[in-house]
Amino acid sequence: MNIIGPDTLVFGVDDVAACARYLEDYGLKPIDASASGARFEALDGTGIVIAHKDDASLPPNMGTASMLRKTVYGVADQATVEQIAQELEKDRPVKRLPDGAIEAQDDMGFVLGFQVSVRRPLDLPAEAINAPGAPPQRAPNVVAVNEDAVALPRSLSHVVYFVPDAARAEAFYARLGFVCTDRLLGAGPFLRPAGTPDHHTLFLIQTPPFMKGCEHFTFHMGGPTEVMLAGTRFVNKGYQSFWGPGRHKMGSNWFWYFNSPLGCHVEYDADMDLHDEAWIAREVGMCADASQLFLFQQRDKWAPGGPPPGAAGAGERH
Amino acid sequence: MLVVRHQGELYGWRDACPHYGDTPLAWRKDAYLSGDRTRIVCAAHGAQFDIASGLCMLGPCLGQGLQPVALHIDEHINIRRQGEEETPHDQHR
Repeated sequence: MNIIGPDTLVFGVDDVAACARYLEDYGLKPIDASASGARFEALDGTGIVIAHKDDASLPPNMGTASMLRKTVYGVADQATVEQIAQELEKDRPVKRLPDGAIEAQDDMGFVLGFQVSVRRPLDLPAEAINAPGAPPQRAPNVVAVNEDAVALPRSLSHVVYFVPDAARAEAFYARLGFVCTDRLLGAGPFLRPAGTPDHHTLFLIQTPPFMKGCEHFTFHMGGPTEVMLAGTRFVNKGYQSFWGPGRHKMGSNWFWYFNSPLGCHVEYDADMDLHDEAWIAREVGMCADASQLFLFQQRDKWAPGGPPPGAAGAGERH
Repeated sequence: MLVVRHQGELYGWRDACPHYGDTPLAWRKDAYLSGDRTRIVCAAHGAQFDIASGLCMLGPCLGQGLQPVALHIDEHINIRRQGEEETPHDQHR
């Protein structure tokens, strides 16, 4: 089934104003913002919708600390929506919405939507690297670093769920054509829907039932420098880094996770591997070494130079 | 660490969520509380803690608690390092 990836994540939050400020500072554009909530979009139209947790129009909460209420998948066409409806109607109610989208729950109780994707095609450069041995990717006099460069989230990349039964959860997504690209033993599978070559748009982590919900979501940036730049700007605005920056082994994407008022982490990621049907899934036991190639920590700018402390310092320098 | 003034009392807690043991709670500098200011919230996974007892009421670390930091208050607020002995000069509520 030609499912491309998540178009929208919907959250019912405790503090709408705080979440609105957070998502705007993260780099998403507010659409139709009001005191009751808004949609926050990346460059390609995918995005996050927030409303107050008591908003009656939201699907119900999961009874845990998670604030995620719905995951809306974008698919290639209305025929795919119908195909998914027919598959799911075999064993669960499928709600049909006036705009042609459908809504149903997965086997863990996560509310899902399926719609013709709202993604707009993007035409943007990737990060350009010069390296000996390879043709230059930047023409002479084209400067890579611009401290005023815009580094904005381009597209909703993936969402990670805590689930009480990862095997059963995975089996549901397999019915919809998601394949496992890699498996982190002790955690769960990385899943890729048929409509994208991205390593994963969904990762499942096995946890006790009281933890069920969203661990994090992330938007693709244009490259590692954009991740570093956007992340540094975010830190400098006072936001709390959680893990990163670093580069994952499975999926190869650069990552930088932050705490958030949406009840989950929010990540900047970039340069994820692409796969097709020929790929054979790897299995690695979950541990710190398996989770990253390397890990760094942001620090304030520093430069070498200047005399050692004390008046004698100047005379001792060579 | 964080110090919270709640209903006239001051509470000190180590800024470390019991979920992973040593990760910070805020989502932004000084932003530790729920919207209505009645609970401490960990901005990793939304865990909610009772301000006075530090107990996790909802979230991945359900039943666990924040580690208290002793506060000794006279005209200043003093934070006692673990293991130091009280002296007759210390005053606390």
